[in-house]
Amino acid sequence: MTWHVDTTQLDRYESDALPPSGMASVEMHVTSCESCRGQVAGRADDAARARVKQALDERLDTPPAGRTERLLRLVGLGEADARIVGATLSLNWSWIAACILSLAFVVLAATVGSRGAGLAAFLVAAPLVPLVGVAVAYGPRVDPTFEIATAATLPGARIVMLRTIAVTAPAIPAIAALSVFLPAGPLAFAWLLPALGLAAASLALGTLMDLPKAAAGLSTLWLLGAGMDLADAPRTSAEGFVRGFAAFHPSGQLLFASLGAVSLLLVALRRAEFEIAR
Amino acid sequence: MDGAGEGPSDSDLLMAIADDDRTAFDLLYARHFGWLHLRLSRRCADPALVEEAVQDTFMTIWKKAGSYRAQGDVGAWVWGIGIRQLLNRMRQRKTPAWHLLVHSERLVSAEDSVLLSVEHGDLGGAIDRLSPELRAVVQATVIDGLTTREAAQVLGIPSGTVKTRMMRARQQLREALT
Amino acid sequence: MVAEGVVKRYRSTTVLDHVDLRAGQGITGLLGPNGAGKTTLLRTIATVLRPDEGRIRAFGLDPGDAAQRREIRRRLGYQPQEPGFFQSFTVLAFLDYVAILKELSGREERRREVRRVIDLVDLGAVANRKIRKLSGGMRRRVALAQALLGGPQLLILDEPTAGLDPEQRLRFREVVSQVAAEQTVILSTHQTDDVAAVCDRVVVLHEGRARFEGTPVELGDLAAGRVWLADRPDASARLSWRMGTGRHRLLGDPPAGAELVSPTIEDGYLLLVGHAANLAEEPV
Repeated sequence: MTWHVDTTQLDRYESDALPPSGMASVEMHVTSCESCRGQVAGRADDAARARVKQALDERLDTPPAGRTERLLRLVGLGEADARIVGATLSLNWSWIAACILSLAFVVLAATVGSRGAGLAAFLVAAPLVPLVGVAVAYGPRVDPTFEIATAATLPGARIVMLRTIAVTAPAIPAIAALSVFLPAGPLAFAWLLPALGLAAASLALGTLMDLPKAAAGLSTLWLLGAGMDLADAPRTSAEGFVRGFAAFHPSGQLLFASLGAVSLLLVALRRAEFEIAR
Repeated sequence: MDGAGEGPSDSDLLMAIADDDRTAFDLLYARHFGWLHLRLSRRCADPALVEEAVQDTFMTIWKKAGSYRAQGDVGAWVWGIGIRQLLNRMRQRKTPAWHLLVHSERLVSAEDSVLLSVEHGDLGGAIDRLSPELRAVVQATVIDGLTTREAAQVLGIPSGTVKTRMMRARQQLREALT
Repeated sequence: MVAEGVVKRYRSTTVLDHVDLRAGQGITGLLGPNGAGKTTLLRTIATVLRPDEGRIRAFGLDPGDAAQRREIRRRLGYQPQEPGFFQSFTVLAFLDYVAILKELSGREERRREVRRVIDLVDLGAVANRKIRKLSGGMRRRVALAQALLGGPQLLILDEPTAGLDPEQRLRFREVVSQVAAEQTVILSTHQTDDVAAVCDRVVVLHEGRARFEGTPVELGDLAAGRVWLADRPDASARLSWRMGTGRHRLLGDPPAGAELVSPTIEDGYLLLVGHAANLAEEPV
């Protein structure tokens, strides 16, 4: 650049007092000349500069909501709740998605292979999915901010419940959709009450021990029970075989429903236990 | 454009901004707010609109700093974002301001961008003697760097007309030089 | 803040054995070697852990009662030894998340408070950067910043200077001194120069027991008349080590021909905790 704008030219530019070619000259020059830009910067409207800067700082200081968070807000969750759920959600959902995918394969096997065994496998495996959801909801090994969260005022029980529901709520309908494909009528949904009962029970157990341990323990008990019952179950028909497991009897179903209700009561009474580390 | 060895260059700042550096952003803002605000104010008479456009321009710079790949002068890149932000807002508010400015005698006239790097002399006179319609078209495409279609939208004329007017403007300027 | 007779056991070990700690306004240092039980004590005071025995009161409130515990936490800030982050979060997003955990109401108020602590610890330049891209020293500052959210009256910092270089440690001391003007700060460290620099009071913890409580100067005075410089090491000394100058610093009874020097805090500390140490070990 061989020339630079001087103060007079800038004055006249600002008041539209240059001929059109001159206006263009100044403009084109200032845009690409660093020192002249500096000169203009010194003359700029300070109030406007401060206003715009403040607005920019406020916008940049506001962390943008991620996709999952926006989805949760659409469903009706408050901002704070959405943030708490969203922090671990994509990780948790990938666990759950993996489980449901495996379940889908079981269903596939059930439709092509032995009906009784396939149906039983599906019904026994399905309740484990919400248990995985509980296991990854909250706890020192699952949430990196656990220490800080415990020392903060937001109740740990709230975090546990929000995240458990956020993971279970979509999982249940997804598994139910799989149930529809099984040619077994209402029996194909016999997993539902045990699933809810076990999930609630693991939450209640979570007031005594770490959630992953509670979920793992109950899963083991469930699988052992299934294994023992089904080993002696009659193989005359698919339904007969499946009902060999007490949990899929009407009485068993009722038992799990009660277990669920009692567990939720226990959780409510002992919810302060989620606010302390062990 | 290096700053004579003192401080980071604008493209250095943009690289830092692409890496989420707030201090670099503050510095870029301090350097470019003045001229951008000034130049956009000459396009739109509504100061609130201009401020909004400037704000959105810098937000875009923050988000898109990574997409600037040493494509020449940072100022021109910033202007490209800024003028489009302003035009968007003006179109949304349907302000007649742009059209008035464009057709008025006072509007900046056009020269070829190469010619403008030279002090204005006789050529300046020739430019000043272009008719307002021709000046407007050259202003939009050459000075403000809009595409033919964008210019057509802003001026409210068909793209074909933009092209023919550009041809006529160039012809007149060439005649004035010989 | 008062802790009396705190006992905490883990399996068959007694991690804290009837520990007393009193902290008022200003900075109280918890000094001790690794494994002394500092983290356990701090976690207990921070209401994160329940003690097996003992009595803790903060602001006159009892953390054993759920409602009072919540009230204590409202006025508490805690920086754990191993702060955990959601790695993909930016600094701003993380601090905003913690602000939500602390139930700071309203988006506006949270944003202002987050900005305040970011400026306090000088993280403005990297506020929008993802935490996984930050250096260790910067992550520590983020951990400190989250403890400062909400302007707590009781600040508990677990090894806040571990892994920081001297310049970063200096900056930390500046921030903490600023904050401690009207608050109670309890910080743990195994480095005596931290204590010397900022602490009004110090408690020495060793093998689960509190061995000393007083001012840093008083800690140094424990070694008064027992610190010597000599040209050769002496087997009769309690502890000795070779210094950079080539001479030897000895703690204990004076050997022949040794020169008495005035004690530093470190000397007092070493005298307290080093007595059980193997003489073959070279304390740093």
